[in-house]
Amino acid sequence: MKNLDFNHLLAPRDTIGETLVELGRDKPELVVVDCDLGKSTRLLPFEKTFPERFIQLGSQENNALSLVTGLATAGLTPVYVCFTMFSIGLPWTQIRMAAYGKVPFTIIGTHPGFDIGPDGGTHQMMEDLALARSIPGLEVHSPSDLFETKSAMKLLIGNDKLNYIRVGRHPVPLWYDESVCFTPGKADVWLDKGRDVVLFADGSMIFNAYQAGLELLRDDLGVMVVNARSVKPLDEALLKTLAQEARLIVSVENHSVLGGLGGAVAEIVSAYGGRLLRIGSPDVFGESASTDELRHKYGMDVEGILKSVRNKLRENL
Amino acid sequence: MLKSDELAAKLEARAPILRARILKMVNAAHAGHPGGSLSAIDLINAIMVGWGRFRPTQQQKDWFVLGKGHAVPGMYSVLIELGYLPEEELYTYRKMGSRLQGHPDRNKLPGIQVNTGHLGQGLSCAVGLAWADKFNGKDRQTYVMIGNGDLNEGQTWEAIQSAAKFALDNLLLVIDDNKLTQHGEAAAIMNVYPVEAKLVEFGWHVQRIDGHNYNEIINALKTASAVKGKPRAIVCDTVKGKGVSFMENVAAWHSTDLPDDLLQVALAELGQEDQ
Repeated sequence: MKNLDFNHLLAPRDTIGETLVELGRDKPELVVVDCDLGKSTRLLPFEKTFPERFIQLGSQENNALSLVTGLATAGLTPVYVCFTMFSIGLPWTQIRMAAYGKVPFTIIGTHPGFDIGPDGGTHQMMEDLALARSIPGLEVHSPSDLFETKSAMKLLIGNDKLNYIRVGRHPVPLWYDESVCFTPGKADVWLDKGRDVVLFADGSMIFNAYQAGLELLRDDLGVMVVNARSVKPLDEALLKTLAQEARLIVSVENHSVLGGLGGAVAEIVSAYGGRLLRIGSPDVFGESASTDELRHKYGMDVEGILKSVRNKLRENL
Repeated sequence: MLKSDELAAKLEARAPILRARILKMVNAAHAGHPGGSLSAIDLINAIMVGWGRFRPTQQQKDWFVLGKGHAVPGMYSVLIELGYLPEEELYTYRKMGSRLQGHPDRNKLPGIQVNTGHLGQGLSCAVGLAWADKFNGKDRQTYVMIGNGDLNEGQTWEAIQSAAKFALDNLLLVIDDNKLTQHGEAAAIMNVYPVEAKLVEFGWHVQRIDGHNYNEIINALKTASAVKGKPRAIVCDTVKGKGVSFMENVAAWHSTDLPDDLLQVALAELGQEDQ
């Protein structure tokens, strides 16, 4: 069992700019589109290295997505980077039109869910996974730490698909190192010690799920912790097996429990008779507070996950 | 190479046939958008058949983005003219399994380059195409046609700003200003006039012409081609339903069926009675 080093935390978003620079060196057709949030989304290294390939549109998110569709149609490899609220929420119909036309490019959404805590309910995007995964042909990926994010970007950008990569702002420990190879649609098992409780999490929440999993082992429970990696395509083969083997599957996400990872897992698990507990924000808007305070309020921290899981298991007896 | 007036005359001679195709499509589908297709058709004809590079055999094609995607019968009519699809396929418009979708679909029909249909998105796509061609040093023009509805969309004005910022002199915006939207008079629905002054203020080169006069259209395209350093627009005075007396300037012909008896009246007016 791996121990997480909580003294060494890194925000996955911090790799965006430098990874785009690395990709840009190999791909002369790669261009980056910003809507005046490049400082927060860490695009400055790319802007500095490749100013002629950095398209600054100001606050024109609707224009941006259709413009990116045009860039990709003409053969470039555009990457649009913005807060999740403005990368998926605001320009949703423009993305849908790109998907309808089967136009390939990559959207990166930062500051997902409660990561943008103090900005409040206006900016806390708890609905992007639901919005994104309901569009045919749009693949949705949610890597965990900085190295996995880097690997996902390197694998997905320029892959002839329409991709959405959800990248965390909240600092998290490192699980992976530079050798990690992101596998779209194939979940990664972090802990495999039984099937009483299977914690199935994405993005930053996998770290809370893992810590909770270690605690549950001390309860003499068999525990599995899985990094979902992708929300679409979801690892259906694994979930189908788990639905039949696990006593309880628990989805944990930095998103509403409606329609996101938990919703996607429910769609698979329900067909095979498994029990599912969905942890995430309830069907409410958030409020200004720190990320940790909000996670605590809605039972998404380690303590909250343990409480919900233990209650559910008791209910089961 | 034809002289301008010869080219205009040649294109104009085909216009009744192009209009007849639009009417037959809408009649066969019992639905569609005849009014805006008839206001746009002379411009689409002039750009795609007469001026730009759009023939199936041409290796290096220009781009044509039909921002007002609902006017797609006009586009299909011209694609038949260019040889992308057989004449009889027009009767499949809007029907199950057809390549002729209710709005343009590039994955179904060759000759369609960009999917459109949501007003406001077309010009942005065109800005992306033109930016990419500039970046790649490609000698290619991007033509984009929008209508009155597009002008009400905020996104159109975002795109207008960005085209000027990037000095896209390979982008030509054609505004089919037929002055009627689905619900009524564009100026009453949501007034954006005068359009030319606004475009000029945003840094565009702007011309205003009669969008049914082929000589004016060809001359305007020629004038636009000499402009450097800024995006170009041609605002075209057009008539919704142009060419069919009972449709002209009647908003109700925006989206509707065309029954058999009225089809025959319209075809007779165009000198295109069924053989």
